[in-house]
Amino acid sequence: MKFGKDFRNHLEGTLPDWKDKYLAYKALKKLIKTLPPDADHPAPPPPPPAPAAAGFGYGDDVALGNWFARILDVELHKLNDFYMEREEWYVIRLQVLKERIERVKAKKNDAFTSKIEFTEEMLEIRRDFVLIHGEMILLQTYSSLNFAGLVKILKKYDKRTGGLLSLPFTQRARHEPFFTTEPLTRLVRECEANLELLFPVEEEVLESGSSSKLQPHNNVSTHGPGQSCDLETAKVYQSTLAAMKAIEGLKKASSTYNALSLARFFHGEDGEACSGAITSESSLLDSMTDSQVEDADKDDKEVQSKEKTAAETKHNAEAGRRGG
Amino acid sequence: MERITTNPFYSPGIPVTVPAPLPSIPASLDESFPRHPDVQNVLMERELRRTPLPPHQSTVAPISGQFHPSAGSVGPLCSPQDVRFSSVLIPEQYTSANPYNPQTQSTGSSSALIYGSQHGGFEPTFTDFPRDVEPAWCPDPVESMLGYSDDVSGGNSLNGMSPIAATDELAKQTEWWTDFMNDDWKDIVDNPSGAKSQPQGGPPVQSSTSVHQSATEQIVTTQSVEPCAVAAPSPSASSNTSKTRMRWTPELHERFVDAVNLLGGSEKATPKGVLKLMKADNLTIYHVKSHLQKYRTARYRPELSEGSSERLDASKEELPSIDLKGNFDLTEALRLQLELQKRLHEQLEVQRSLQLRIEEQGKCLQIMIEQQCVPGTDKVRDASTSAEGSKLFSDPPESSTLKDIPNNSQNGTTKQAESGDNE
Repeated sequence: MKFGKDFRNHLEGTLPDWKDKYLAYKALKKLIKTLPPDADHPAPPPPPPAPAAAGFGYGDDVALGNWFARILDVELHKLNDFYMEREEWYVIRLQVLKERIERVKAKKNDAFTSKIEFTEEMLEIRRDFVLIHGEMILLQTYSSLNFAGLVKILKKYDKRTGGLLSLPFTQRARHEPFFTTEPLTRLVRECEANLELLFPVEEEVLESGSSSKLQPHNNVSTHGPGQSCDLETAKVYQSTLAAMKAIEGLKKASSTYNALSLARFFHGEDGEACSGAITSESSLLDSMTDSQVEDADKDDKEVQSKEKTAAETKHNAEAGRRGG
Repeated sequence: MERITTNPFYSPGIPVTVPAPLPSIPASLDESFPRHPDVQNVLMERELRRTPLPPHQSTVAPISGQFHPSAGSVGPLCSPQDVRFSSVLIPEQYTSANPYNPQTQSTGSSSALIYGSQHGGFEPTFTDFPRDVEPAWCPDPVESMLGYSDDVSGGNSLNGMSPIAATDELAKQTEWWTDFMNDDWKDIVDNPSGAKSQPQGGPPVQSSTSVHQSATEQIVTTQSVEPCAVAAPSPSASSNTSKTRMRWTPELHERFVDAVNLLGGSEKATPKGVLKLMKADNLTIYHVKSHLQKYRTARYRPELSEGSSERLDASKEELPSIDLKGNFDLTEALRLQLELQKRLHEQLEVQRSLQLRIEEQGKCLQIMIEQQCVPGTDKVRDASTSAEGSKLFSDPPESSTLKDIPNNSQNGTTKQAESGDNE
């Protein structure tokens, strides 16, 4: 269960205040385990039952699906609420920070501020901008991971109960506020534009008479990133690292499964009319065998590491092609 | 900012008493989960005993009308209790709002048809549920502590506009789910200061600031009404927009700031005044009030906003005011951190575009399969999970291809959703 682990690790490493605002993935997984399995339809399928029973079969599944969907709705509400609240906060904060830059610029021109004051001010502004940038990106991570988790939960639900909840609910979730992150992305871009100005190569603050200081070093002498300023910055830095791991985990999984399922798909299936169309888009391939591979806990580490390089290259190439 | 309005749970609620939900789980997770029929029966009995039920006999008939002509045992949960189970649940869903009525008066198979494939989407089917039934899910006791349980009588519960008589039920649900989640969160995060389920509300969450407090207010007062951009009146937020969470865009915020400045600044401006000046549809005084509070925090006490008062002291210690080299190092450290953040951002963009693409492909595949006819889909079904695949074979023969195709498309698109997981 790689995703679950990645998710959990991310939660442990992320901003403490956010931890309980994520999708209750593990709890939902547990809940699904308690649901009645798809006992109506064991594999060898029985002869089509009488309409009455079949009707109730569907009715019942629908009822169960509705119930489960309602639970997910509560989760969605939580996700949306948190997301929008944070988004609002970042809108405000970014505007306030931009205002602050303007004020400092004005002050610099009009009043003669001491260099030290100015330096301090600039440092603080830089720090704040980096901080808000980091947090916004963590919010994006929040969105992405929760959506991925939600899709997985839906898949598990369908698998467990033979329900058909996955697609429609996913389509709906796709348009929920917590996953429509375009405004947030715009904020991030805006932030980065400002940051370009704040982190130029030449800067008054760097004036120390030594030109060597202008060379960026990979290893900052006394401070590493995240240890630089204060607790706040450090927390964001650590959370960013955790988020990187989680997102890379998602990506790696897909690359690996792409490779495996591609092989299975080609060898395991007879030629089929629509398969030709499918294979041109490799992401469609995952779906068939992913669930079995993943849910069967086939975390074959050796295979993964061997496949990883090839798969990632392939994956990147496909991503490039798809993006093209 | 337009937002596609597909949020059922933001639609107005209809007061409905909620009896027992579907399978509930024993408060103690130490009980190993017994075999399902037993669990179902035991738990439902327990729930049903706790809850006043409408006489289920009378509700069986509506079910039949809704779902199927012949009432009888209900699917896999074949037991007398199960009749109650569906009778309990379904009237809640369909008595007050009948999403299935317009669609079908016929067999349950049609219900599934709708369920799965209606316009390729889900919205009509589920529009009504959240408002009808109390969710049996309160996974976040912190949240409940903060807001949900505060104002149940005011109808500001999770989905409710309704001052429901299900207060007890909510408490029980909350209790059940609290226990469930408590155990779960203990596993997930070993965080003693955890802003989690442990001591209700945890200090970190409490201390987190006016931002979170105003978020709490929002939670308390939030009803399940569709939020929407101010500029575009929401098509279906027919009800109480005062309790929605507003989605603040930069443009909207700019109008807010202009209004505030006109009124003499954030300290002097009043919510009422700002609201008047902004002249924005769907914006209520609650929205403005909370936004103003956040705004003031951002301007004057930003250190409080991030939930860590330690920042204030730490930053005073850390900012080397005289040491230029120190400044350089700090700047460099910040720069590196920024680079890392940018990298993560790139990854996220890739991830997101993949996720979106997969959703689209799911739709395309669905169409493809619909065009394929039945024989061609057999192979596709084989490839899907056995549960899904075998489900198809149980279709009643009468429904024939019309039914098969949407089901197949469900399988196909379910596969698409699956593939999205691994991205």
